[in-house]
Amino acid sequence: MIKDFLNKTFAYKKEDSYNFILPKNSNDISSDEFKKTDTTQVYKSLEKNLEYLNVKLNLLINSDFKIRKFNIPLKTKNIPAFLIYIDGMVDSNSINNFVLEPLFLRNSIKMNASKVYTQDASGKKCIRYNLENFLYSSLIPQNNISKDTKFSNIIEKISSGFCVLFVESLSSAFCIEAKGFKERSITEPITESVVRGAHEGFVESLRTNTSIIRRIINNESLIIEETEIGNFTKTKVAICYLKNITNDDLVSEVKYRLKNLNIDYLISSGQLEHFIKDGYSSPFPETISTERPDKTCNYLLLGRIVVLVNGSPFSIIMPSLLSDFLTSPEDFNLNYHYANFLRFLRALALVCALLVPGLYIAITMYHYELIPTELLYAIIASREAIPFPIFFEILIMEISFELIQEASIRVPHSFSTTVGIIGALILGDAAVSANIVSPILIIIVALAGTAAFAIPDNSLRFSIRLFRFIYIVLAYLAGFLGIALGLFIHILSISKQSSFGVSLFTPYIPLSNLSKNQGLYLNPVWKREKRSEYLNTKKPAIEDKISMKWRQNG
Amino acid sequence: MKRLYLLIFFILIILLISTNSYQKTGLEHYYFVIGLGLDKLENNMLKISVQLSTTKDESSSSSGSSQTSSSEVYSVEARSINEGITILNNYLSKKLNLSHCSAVIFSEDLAKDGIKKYFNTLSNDIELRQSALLLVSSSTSYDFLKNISSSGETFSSRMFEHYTSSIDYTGFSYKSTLGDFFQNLHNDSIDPVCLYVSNISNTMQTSGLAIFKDDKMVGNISVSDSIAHLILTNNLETAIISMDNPFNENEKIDIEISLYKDTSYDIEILNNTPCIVAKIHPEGRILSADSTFNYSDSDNIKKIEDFCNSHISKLTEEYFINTTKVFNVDTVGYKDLYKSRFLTEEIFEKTSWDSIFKNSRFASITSSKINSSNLFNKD
Amino acid sequence: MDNNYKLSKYECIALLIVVMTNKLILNIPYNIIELTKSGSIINVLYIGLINFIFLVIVLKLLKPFSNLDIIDISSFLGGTLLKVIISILSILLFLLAAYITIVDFSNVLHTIYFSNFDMIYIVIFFIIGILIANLIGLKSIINSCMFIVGFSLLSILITFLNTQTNIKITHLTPIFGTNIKNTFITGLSNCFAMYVLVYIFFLKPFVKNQEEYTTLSIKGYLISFVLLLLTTISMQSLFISNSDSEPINSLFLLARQIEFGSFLQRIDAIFIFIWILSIFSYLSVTLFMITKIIKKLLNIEDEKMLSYSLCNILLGLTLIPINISILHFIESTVYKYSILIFIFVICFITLLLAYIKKRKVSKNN
Repeated sequence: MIKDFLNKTFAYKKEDSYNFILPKNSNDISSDEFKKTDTTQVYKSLEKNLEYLNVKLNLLINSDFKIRKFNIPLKTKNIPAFLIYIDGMVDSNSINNFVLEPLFLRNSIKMNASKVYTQDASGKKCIRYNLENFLYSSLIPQNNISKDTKFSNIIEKISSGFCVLFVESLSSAFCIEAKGFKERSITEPITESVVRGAHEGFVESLRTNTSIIRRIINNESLIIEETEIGNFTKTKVAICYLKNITNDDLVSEVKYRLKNLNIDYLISSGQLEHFIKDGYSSPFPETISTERPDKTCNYLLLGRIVVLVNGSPFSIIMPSLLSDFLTSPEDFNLNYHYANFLRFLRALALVCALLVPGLYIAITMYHYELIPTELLYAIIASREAIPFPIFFEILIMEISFELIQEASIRVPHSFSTTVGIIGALILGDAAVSANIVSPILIIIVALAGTAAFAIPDNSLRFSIRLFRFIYIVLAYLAGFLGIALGLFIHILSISKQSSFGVSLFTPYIPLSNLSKNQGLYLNPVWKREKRSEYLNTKKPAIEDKISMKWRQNG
Repeated sequence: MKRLYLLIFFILIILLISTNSYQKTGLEHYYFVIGLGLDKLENNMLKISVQLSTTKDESSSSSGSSQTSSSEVYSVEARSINEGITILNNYLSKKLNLSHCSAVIFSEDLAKDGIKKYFNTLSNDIELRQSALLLVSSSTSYDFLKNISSSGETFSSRMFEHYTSSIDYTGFSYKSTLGDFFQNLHNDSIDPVCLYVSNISNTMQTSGLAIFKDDKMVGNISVSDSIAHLILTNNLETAIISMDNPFNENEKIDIEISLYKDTSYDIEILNNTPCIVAKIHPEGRILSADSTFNYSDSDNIKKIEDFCNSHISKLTEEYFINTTKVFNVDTVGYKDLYKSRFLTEEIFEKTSWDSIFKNSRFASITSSKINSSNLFNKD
Repeated sequence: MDNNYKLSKYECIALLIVVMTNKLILNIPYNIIELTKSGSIINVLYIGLINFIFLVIVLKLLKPFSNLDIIDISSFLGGTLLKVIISILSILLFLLAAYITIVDFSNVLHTIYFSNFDMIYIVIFFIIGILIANLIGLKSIINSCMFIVGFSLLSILITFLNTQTNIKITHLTPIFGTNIKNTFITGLSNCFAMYVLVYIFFLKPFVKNQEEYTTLSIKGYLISFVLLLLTTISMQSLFISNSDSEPINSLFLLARQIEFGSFLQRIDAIFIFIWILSIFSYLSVTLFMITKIIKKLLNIEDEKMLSYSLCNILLGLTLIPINISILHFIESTVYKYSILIFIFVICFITLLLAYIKKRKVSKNN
């Protein structure tokens, strides 16, 4: 009895991680309903088909759906038919010239081809025409045409730019490709610009993007698998990998995660990135997103997986490590000496951007013996008329700096220079003259800000900017002790995180064979012989032991 | 996640409010002391002087801002250093901070009374650096600091820094730091020395070294002896010695010397007398040239070398007499040097070094190398 | 928590080094010098050799017990009773180590930088750090060790190199100290300095490749030994003459001496910064070991709650107001002899008997 009570009260109960939540309102359309695939077949009666589509697609309200009814004149009779398509997504020229015109005009000429002789009940030989075959093979001169019997497939095709032909007495419909929607042409990537390197960037259309990748890689082992995400939007998502290089387990893990997303809609790759993240609450990024096809293909060839989302000009590369976030696409085009110098600089920038304001507070508040004596007097002199404590001063500056940064991104392009000038003038000069901040502090904030801009990856930059404030507060609380606590927990949490099974600090922590792994140090181009070990690729070698054969032959 | 943010926010608020961090004073609440001077007054009182640098930020609308620095000396009477600093804190209404203090100056009177009791305070002070200079001033340290302040250096903290760096090229000064002094003070086998300065026409001038027996100053030695001290303790960078010209009795010859090999010692006890033989290896460069004399001639060089040898030997022997014989102190640490020949301290104790040390004899063997002259071999 | 994370070779060595560097940061080399004076180098070499022989014997004895630590071995030898005894002893030892580390280092920080703060304020930072570390898990603790160990090695190396410019031959002589007996017989108690030996008894189940255990322990031991030797030598330059004065933290005083030219002066705060990080990782390792032992002792399924309560216990312990001289007594006497007894008597005898039993059992089979 007592034992029971004690057990009930104090004994360890395993935490129940499975939570069942009762639906609040039974009238709500649960998302499962969307997943039920419509199995309705195409009816033989044209009227019925039209009626079904009317209901399903809300044709009375939806203004951009167009239906063109007409008759196909055959030898003896006119067969009623209609075309359905979405205005703006199809090319009206190709519909006019290559769908409607042959159906209207050329039908009588080649009818003989699909003659079928049958015997009727009385044994009398009679000629029948297989209308479906005839239409398919003779009347629609289009490359991409398919016959579908299920309405679900048909509707999907309509919304992706096909026009669909329904004909009386046929139990299937013809989906004819006549895509002709307007899309952005390939332009130079805005977010990642390089001096030396390709100047084309991804666009919003998935097909265009896959075609760019296909064009660069130019090998049949490139697999571009397509899947759909979002019960509402059915956004097309392409998973690209190299069949004979990329690790199979990695591919299936990515596919598993992508296919097990029960969401209503997916608009951009940024959303998707967070849906497939390991550490879902961590502010540290786990996948690289890039606008550049050359960077994407580089990583693809190294054995990683790329996910493209229709409607988003950013590809997601996975798995990715901390050193990848410090990599610029230009690195691979440069002499490795320069590239390594730049990489070292970026690593330094990472530390500066994260810690400099915090260190300044810690040093000026607790560890002032660190400052050289002359500099110390300069700091004291510059702070003489400042009414605020250093902590408050640096918070003012940091927040206003972030404000300027945010404002100059969001405002129209023509204003952004104005914002920059106002910010620079007010913060740089007037604030000092008005004795609100000291000039040395401006240097500190500017250093941290500039360092943050040197980090190539956008998400990493945000993460750094956020954590900078935490370090400022910690430094204010306890100087180096506070910063050390923050750093310790930061390292702990990042090293816990992994990107698709690869720890973010790889190959340094846990220490693995550095000669077999690509870390922050970039080997010369003739020495990049192996794909990184942590990716466990099927084909580890990239180049021969002696890649420059010409040296030997000469 | 929302809850986590709230939690962090509340923890921060609690930390900020409930702890002392908001009380933590900033840089502007401190005065950073550059020099600390201690003088003896009557009836056991101390006069504590601090030299502060005050930097002013003078902004002008046209050409940005410029900083000017001047230093001021404040002094106060107190029973102990800490009390004096507390009184000064009160008087100046800012907290004195010693972490950038670059010199501690004792007046000669105070040093002669013994400075161990002050040293306990100084070496226990967490702010004061062991690398700070320790000086004994012939006048009062207040006057000394006062004169330093008006010496015209833009940043008066640099004054001491420049002063000690002159050891690299003169050999007249000696970088006597608090840490070294403290170590030697606690070491019973070596007697501490420190720089002895005097105030001549408002400038700080080295007048040799102050010699301490235990913690009491017993006397001072001249500048030329301080060169010998540097040679014997292997601290010499370069020094210029001026000696009689072997070829012309009326003239002097200047030689810049440095050590090409550390000075080594042979110490033995013969008939209860420690015999110390120092082997000195100076390297020299003739600075002055004589028109009648060929310096590239090997015989001449040999002659100068011999002369130099005897000069340096004489210098060191004089130094030995001036320190050990006169004050009965061991400023080089012969005891330690002798001790290092033994395997354990127990065996060493049997030699009863302390009682026989004052009888010890000193000789030095110098083997100098005169390398080259200046631009012209002949004038 | 990732309960079954196994350490690789490097990680295990890094863990041993982190343990050792933290002992160096606290006053261990100074305690050696205090006892053996100028004979410390010989003494360190001597105890290094003795401990090395001991280590080799222990590793030989541990070989048949794959994936078992001293707790499991004791339960194999003497059933639950012995297991309980050994577990409680080791928990106490680790708690003592953690307690001394926190109190000692907080004391240093309190004296140097945070003199107007309460002690609890500093302690709480350490407690929060190790609590979060233990909640996150072993893998992250080890990874942070890997990250930090490089810096702390560098700090010790810089300290060593910098003191070499000041060191004189007279600091190191007479080479055998005050007398032979003091150096070699009384000085034997300095064996406690190689604290890593304690971890040798406990680390085995965490290592991925059981065959590697011998080599990696020896490697870790040798590196720790070299570190101890370097620190002892550099400390002799400063403390040999005034070893009667009792420093709050000897390595800190040594770091205060470091100067590079006229610009990089007074950089000891940076060293303190590195050492704080190092102490964080060491404390989390210690706390992790305690939770593991308690888990083994009581068959607990989830260690999360245990971390909370252990941190509270540690916080409570550190808040007991304590005189600095008592702390020094605990550190230099109680702790020293408890380590010596634990390693060389309790663990060793248990292991030896278990080894004999194991051989008998296998012979009978």
